[in-house]
Amino acid sequence: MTADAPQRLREPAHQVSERAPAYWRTAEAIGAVIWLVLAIGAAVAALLVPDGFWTWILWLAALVFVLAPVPGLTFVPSIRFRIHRWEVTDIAVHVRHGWITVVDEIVPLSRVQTVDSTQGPLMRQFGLRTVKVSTASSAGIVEIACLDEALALEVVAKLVAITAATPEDAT
Amino acid sequence: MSTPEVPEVPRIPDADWQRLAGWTAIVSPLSTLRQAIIPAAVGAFGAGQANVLIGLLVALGIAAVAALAGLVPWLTTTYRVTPTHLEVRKGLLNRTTLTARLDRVRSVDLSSTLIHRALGVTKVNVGTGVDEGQITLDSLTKDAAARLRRELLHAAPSTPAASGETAAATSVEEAPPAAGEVVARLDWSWIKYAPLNLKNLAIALGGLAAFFGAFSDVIPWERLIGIRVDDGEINGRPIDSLLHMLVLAIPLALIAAAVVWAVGSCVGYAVRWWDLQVVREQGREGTTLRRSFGLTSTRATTVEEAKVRGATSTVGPLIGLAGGADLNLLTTGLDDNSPAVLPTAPESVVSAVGTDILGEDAFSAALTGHGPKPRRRYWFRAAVATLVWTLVALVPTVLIGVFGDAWLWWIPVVVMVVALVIGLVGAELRHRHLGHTLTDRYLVVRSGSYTAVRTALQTDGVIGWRVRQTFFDRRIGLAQVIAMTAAGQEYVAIPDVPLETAVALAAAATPRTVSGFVE
Repeated sequence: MTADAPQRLREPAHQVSERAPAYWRTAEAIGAVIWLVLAIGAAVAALLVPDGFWTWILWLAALVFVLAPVPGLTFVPSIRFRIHRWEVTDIAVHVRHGWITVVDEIVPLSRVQTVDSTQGPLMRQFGLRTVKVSTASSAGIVEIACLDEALALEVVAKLVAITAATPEDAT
Repeated sequence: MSTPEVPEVPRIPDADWQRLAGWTAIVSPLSTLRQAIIPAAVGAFGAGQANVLIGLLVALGIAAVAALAGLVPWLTTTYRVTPTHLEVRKGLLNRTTLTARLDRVRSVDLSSTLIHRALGVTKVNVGTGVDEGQITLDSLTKDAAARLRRELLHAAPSTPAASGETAAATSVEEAPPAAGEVVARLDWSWIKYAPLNLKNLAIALGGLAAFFGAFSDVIPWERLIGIRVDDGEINGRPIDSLLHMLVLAIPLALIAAAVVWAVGSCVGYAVRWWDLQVVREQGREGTTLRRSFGLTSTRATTVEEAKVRGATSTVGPLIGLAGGADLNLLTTGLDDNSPAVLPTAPESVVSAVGTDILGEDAFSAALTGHGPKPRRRYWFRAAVATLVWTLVALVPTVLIGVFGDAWLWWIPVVVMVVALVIGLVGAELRHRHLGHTLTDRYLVVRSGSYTAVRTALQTDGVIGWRVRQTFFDRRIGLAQVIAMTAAGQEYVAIPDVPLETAVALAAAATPRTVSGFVE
């Protein structure tokens, strides 16, 4: 850990819930309905409007709208699942997420102001919960997304216990 | 409900609830009116054109509502300082009690507009924790405000015996305003930087545009300027015969505008920064910094020095060429958490004052650059931007050429040259400015292209890290790093830094937090 040796952040220890990719796909599928409506709209417009230089643009738009959700329905969730990792030590939270852009976030527990967890209706169907850790910085909000419900509540309890024990005013 | 004269049974009988200054009843309607004056004037004028009586009634109605609204704070707001807390009660229908622990009070900000000053009162903003916002008392008499400031920040840790009377009107008079140590004082030679401030120029132009926008219907342009435009003719003369006059008129107008700007900006600078002083005083817990300035409206802001998390030194494009820089603090609990310590001043002054406040010379510490990769990236981006601008310029040129039969080839060429020069100079500056280092207590970062910003943030003030790598970042091993903090704009960005350097830097700045996650 000397300053001159090549250094990287190691992978946080834990993966998110195994049901997370299914949840991401389902959420994407719901979004895909909107893309499909747009695609149909473009196709209908291409058929109804008299031909012109715009016709091929409309067909192209329809094609793009159909293809737009495809990555999110197929390979992206598994990539994200491989990258999404989290770890809570006695000192800090470390979260890694993203797929094209990968983000590492580290927040020391002594500076955590609030800990809460959220669950949307769809997440409830999958038994998932997101833990949210906020600090005194508006740039310092860290989310551990899509944990198993029970585990998420356990993590919240652990974080609350540790942060309550550190008396600093967190700024 | 609105009978605050009848005191509710206080929990601490000795600490009396205090009223706002009596003049509040006049100040707050006036300041309410001041905000409403332009819409009111426009409204009244609009109505008055139709019917003078209605116009007058509209104006009177607005004044009456403002006056009534302004009375409410004076009738309903009371405050007191107990040995441990500042308590403020306010509100007419929703009575609220704001309580702030004295040891959490970080700043006291006294500001007076011209109206306040004419009446000898001042507005008090008390900054406490981070997100609870500020407690505002508008307005107190000058004496009461000064006393409140001393009680909040400077009173010695109160002994239980004396504590009961801290809020009594006479008990805190003992200390005459302690003669503090002067950290900085306005030097009139700095006024040369005023006309170079492009940001203020933009603000002034925006204000001018807004003013004429609001009143354009009302202003009798034709009578004012003496220009009457009829189709094809100006003041009865054909336009063609006037065009050659523009060659003379435009430079003259520009020179006139420059003179007006130079004089106006200097006057504005003088009025705003009049009698600036930055003074260090002994506070309740450690030292405080007080910055006071202003000719017409005055401002006196006091912050606990221990809560100053760092500072930034900003070198703008023209100002930098003239050897100037801006110094701002990184604080928490003010309404502006990057308050300017000084107006634009010579870099040596900024460096000296910065060193004094930071406690070490973080502003002239040598920086580690980020290697050749960011530079290649910036040059590439400048090239792409040039290409895009050239293509954008090409479209109208081709359209004019095809339909208008005039091939104005010089347009895209000029655009390309200008974009290339601005882009490449910007890229090179961005590369040169990029850097970071770690001093005893500070993380020092510099970034920016035409405007260079050097930030010194206490490593104790870092409350987290975010290391972002886009697809392209990962290919060349760069990272976009953010040090999270509660102070200033709440983060310090370290752009385009090699990943290994970034991790080493984070681990060195906050070893306890980061080192467990490094391999």
